[in-house]
Amino acid sequence: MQEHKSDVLVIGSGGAGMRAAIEAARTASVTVVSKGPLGRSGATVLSGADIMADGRSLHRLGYSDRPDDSPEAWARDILVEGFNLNDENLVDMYTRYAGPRVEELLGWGMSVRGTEERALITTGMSICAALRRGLAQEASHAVTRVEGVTVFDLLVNHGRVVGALGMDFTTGDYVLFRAKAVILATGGWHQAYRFNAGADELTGDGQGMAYRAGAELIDMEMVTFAPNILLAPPAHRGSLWFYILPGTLLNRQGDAFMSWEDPKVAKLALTTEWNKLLFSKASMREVHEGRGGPLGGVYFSMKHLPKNLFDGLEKDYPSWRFQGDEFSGLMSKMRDGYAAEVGPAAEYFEGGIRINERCETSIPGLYAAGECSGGLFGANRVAAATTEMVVEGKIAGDEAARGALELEIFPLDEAQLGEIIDKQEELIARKKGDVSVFELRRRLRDISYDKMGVLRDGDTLTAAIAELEEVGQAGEGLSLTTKRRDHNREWIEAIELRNMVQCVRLSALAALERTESRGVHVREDHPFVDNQTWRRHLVVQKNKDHPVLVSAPVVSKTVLPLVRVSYEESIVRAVETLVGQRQEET
Amino acid sequence: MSGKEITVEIRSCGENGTTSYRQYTIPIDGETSVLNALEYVHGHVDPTVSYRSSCRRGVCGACLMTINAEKRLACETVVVDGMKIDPLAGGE
Repeated sequence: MQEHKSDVLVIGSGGAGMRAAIEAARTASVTVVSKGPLGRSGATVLSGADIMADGRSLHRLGYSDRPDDSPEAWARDILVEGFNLNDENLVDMYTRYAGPRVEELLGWGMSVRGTEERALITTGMSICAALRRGLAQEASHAVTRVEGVTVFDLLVNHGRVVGALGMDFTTGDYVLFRAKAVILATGGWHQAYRFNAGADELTGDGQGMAYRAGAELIDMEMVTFAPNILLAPPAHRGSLWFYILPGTLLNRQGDAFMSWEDPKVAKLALTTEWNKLLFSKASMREVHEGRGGPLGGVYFSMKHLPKNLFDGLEKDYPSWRFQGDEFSGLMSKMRDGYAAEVGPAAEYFEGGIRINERCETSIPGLYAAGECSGGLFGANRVAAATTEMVVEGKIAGDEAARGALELEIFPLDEAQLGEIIDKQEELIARKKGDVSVFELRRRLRDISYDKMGVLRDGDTLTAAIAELEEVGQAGEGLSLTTKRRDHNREWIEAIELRNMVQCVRLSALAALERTESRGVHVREDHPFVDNQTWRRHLVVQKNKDHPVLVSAPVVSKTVLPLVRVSYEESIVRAVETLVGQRQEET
Repeated sequence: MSGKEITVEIRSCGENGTTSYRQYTIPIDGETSVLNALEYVHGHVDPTVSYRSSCRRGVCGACLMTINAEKRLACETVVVDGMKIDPLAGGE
């Protein structure tokens, strides 16, 4: 068995993992392991546009025209956006360190295509390139890079994380990682949804292995859907292209169904990432009420644009030729008045592994950073996830390295290691089963999207939980058709399936338990925000083999009136509060 | 979109470390990528057909493979009848 020994192990090499590796390597030896290409995979490369910091920090860097802004003012807005379910210690951390992280990325060559009051417009590719440059310049000597290895599970001894075990796709060999501290930076569980906007490897691996190791997860019911995601043609399924273009949403009857009773809500929907929640909800309501398209979506049209204005857009959107002639083919149809079927797709996971402001999890030696962690954005993320990943990545790297220096490498629990290997060997050795990994994955993706998507209700969630139980059990008894060990994609998919089923199941349990609506969690059978009962987190942890949900108070200095308001009203109030806060500041 | 079928040759791995090209028929509903064709074959016809993928948008480079004797990204290449695909012969 191949073995890597280092002070710190980082699992995942998107923005959070790369930033963690840079920081940890300043004082410690580091191994970074990634399923895909190192520093090019995960959610980061695909992330659209912006990285955020408070206006004052950006102004100091020569960008924002809002020097009167402050991390504190920004933090107040984030709490409103998150429907006050945010852990305020994490929000303070996020807003305070955003400026220095953006400055550092600029130093590593991140491009700037535009600016807003609290954001620089860049690309995920440029952020990744900056982080790769940062790693090469500052920390290369101390970092071992391991690509194409899927980690199954964390190794724990006497309650402390001592490493992890994975498998090399190319050889099929086990790879043992021994470390004094482990940082999870594995992103969300996008691939558990039929329609999602994430890369293929985003399968909840970090949340799954943390849960199995006994860590606490938080806010698992909170899932953001991005609207206007292309559902067809198949080559472009999942593309966010129409999310950024000007267009009109239509139902099957051709009616433009987005309507704005409140002009303030309209402004927010049209100018900020609040549009994700508002457009997704309206789209799914059309589908639920029978006015959707054959793929379960609605229609995106650009027909209102005069042709000369349409042609002018090409200059503003440099990725027009992206994906070659094929994409242009779709665009010329759009120019002729074609309406493309689009729908909401799973895009960001507010919930995840519970961390504190040092990015420590509930397990000694285990840290989490970026999207796989939870608690920062509460019930609705509007501020940038790109900022989250570099802020948390740096802190996790620093804390993990510091913790590691005081320790020796712990011995392994040989029995646990044996059990993990036995489970994998069974999977390969088992004679043909009744169902394929692919089929179970398909079922999982349908359950997630159809039964616990944008609009939820108790009966449907209960049905989803029962079906997930079945899928989980079938997954435990799975056998692989591919018996060779090297290049065994089925094997990786089986590992990923287990993690995704666990994430979705925990998400469904929390969504059923939370009998209110808040932010991205919309319960049609409980259409009100209930601050008296539910301004609390749902924290889930494994007890023997079962998940146990407990409600936990929100870390907060903000006092809210303990009233119930309708969900629609809560959005209007949130918008009014944001507008009021903006006026106070200027 | 018209439903039609195309046939492609894909190199796949046998149990004893052997590899060989086999023919696979794929239903095509509109234009689609080599990556989606591989996903179809892996999921519905022959799970032993294997490949790497990640971003599906031509950014990460994970699905670089040999298609008609050229190194190309499977996510950005339109699949056509008669193609010869070696999914595991990538950049490494």
